[in-house]
Amino acid sequence: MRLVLVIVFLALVVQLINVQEVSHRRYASLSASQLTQTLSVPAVRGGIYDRNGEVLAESVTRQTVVADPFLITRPAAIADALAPVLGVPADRLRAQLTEHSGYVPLAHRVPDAVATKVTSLNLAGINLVPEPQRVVPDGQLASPVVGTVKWDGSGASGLEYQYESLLAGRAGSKSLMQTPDGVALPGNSSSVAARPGTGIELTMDESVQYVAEQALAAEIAASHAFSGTAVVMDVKTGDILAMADLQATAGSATTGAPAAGAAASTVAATSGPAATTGAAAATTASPSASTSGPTRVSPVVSLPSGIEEAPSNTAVTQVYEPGSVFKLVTFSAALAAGVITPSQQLQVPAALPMGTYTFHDAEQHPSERLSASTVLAQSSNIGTIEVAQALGKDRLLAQIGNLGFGKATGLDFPGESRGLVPGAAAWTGTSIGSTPIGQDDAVTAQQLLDAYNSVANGGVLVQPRLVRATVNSSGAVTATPASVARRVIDPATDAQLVSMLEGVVSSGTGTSAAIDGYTVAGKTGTAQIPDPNHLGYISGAYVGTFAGFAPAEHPVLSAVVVLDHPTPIYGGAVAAPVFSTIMAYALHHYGIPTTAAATASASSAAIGASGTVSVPSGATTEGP
Amino acid sequence: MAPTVAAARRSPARSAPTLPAGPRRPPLRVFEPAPRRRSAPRVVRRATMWASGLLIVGSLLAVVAGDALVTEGQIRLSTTQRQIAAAVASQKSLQVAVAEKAAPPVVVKQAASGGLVAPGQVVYLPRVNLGVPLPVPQTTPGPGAAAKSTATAATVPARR
Repeated sequence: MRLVLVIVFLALVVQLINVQEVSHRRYASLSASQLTQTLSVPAVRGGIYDRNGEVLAESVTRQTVVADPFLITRPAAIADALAPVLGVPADRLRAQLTEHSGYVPLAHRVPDAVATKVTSLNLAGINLVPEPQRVVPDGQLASPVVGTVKWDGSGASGLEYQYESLLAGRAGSKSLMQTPDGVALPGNSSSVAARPGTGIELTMDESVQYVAEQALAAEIAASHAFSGTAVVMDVKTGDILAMADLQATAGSATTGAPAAGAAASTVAATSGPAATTGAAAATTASPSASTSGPTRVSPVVSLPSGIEEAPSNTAVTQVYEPGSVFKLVTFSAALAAGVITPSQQLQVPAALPMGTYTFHDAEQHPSERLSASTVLAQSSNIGTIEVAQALGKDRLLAQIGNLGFGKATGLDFPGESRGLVPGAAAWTGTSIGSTPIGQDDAVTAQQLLDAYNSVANGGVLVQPRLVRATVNSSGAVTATPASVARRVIDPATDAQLVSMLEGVVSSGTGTSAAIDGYTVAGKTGTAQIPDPNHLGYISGAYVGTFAGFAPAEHPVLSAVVVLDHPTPIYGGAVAAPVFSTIMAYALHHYGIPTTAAATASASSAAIGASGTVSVPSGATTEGP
Repeated sequence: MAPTVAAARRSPARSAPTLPAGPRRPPLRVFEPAPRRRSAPRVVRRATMWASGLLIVGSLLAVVAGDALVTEGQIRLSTTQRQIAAAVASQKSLQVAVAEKAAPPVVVKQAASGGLVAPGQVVYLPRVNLGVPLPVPQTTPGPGAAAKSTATAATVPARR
């Protein structure tokens, strides 16, 4: 008997030593795992603001109503109480409350008023869990640029995707001890604070963006176009002030939009995530999205019926054959090389055969003599081809690359296309005819605008940018570096180009782009659309473009407008008026003095002593 | 019965010891016991005991009080953090509410409902330097203007 007691006692001692000394870590961790619960503390996502600090996207905390069916004893009564508050059928709630689970979300991200009502019901087993929600107060405004978020709050498209690492911040955690029935034990809790995301301040201006979208939408509807793009840029800084991408609603009766699934005329050259998330973006950001979704879009509808925001930022993700607006490249290279002068006379025949093709101008005409300026103003294809032939392949291709075509613009936008520019290897017998008039290369609207902006900027190509600053959680603003700039056109050539482009608006194909009180320079483009299924072009299908800047004497703003499948087809008839509307508003918005006032300043200063009102000098230097 | 057994057991152990024969040992002497060290007075001992007890109890109370203070501080901190979080959330909500009200489509809709229309043409005046006083307009008095004033009793404010 004594021996047995001794053995038992020794066994207890051995086990005690095992538990307390040898394996104490394992038992301690086992205990901690049963008692400790680690909760993830989500970081508040950084906001997206326009250049004036107006909110374009912001995250707010909403409450999600969650049930723990294990703690619910009267599911029917609770379902009946919750149904009118949550707006969910009682039968559905009853089924959810009887699930064999400890965590059943009943309603995601409910409004604050609903959360308060649920709390006041004081129902056992019904809890509120905070969940962030992305709110877009401006409705669909600039949604292709701003982008969307997924259900988990991470960026899905646009700038929300591109700046995910900056916007998301870092989630924290909180570990606490609690009893098996969920009662928290005092002390013994540890937490890692969440680091809020950093907001970004865009270069865009909410007001200019709104006007750009309105003008573009009106023209899409009026011309029955499939889609349209408009971009406004600050000449000196490269800041994008507006970037509108709209399309006609599929199957819309008021527009010529194709039915859903029909091939778009522009070439989808996206390769990044924007291409894959575009459809999802369109779905999640639609105005009909319920308030419980990851993004709550303001119910305000700003676009006319039949027009909607494009699923992706087509200004940088889609390429198209630009047509005559590309002639800027040919003339800038020819002027710089001394091949032509603005006043040089050219003999322009009625047609120009080249290999198996014969090139014509838009309007039939007999052989005539035109100055180089007139060739550009009247957008003569044959005259431009003659200039290109005198220039030569190498210098033309060099200028195409020099002006940024075939390269990323540096805008830092997901899915940006570099464009499709034929190199020397792909040069054919007719390339010298089609390339100089913009029918052999595919570019993005942003690349076109960059080229025209460099002319407006005295021949200096400035890299475009969409983000001008970052905003930390304390509100401190840190400016991003200024855009990189490089000279692409010498000043003398640039001055000649500006003068020639002014002629396009004053007496050429772009008269519809004129703005009262300002001088405008720019170029129209009307391009055929390649047939994706056959060699050649789609009959009767065109893309109309206008790119330009104002005021021509002291350029402050540049812009490009592109309309896909418009009627009438000409860029001068459909895109130029939109340019005029947007540019006129932007010039007035930023207080850019009219050309007449700028001219009057010198004369009024001279007669100021006689008692008339004087206009301050240097007033033309203001900009956004 | 038990006393009988005890008596029986005791009897054999009680035999007188026999002294061995031999030289006599010196007689035993009685020494005075060593003087006893005087202990602290009883009052002092009691006081020390009480002081020790009080010290222990006081220390325990101090620990409890400190713990209570720390706990209270933690609760206050937690409450403040909760209030900060609520205030931040409220600020964000208000910011979004303001942004929704100031959104261009809303402003345009409000303006249109208020009867405002976009101007057909904008006429811009030349800029004026507000730092320089405007010159006095040069006017030419009309015939008989000096003699005849257009002001009537109704248009001239009464002096009080």
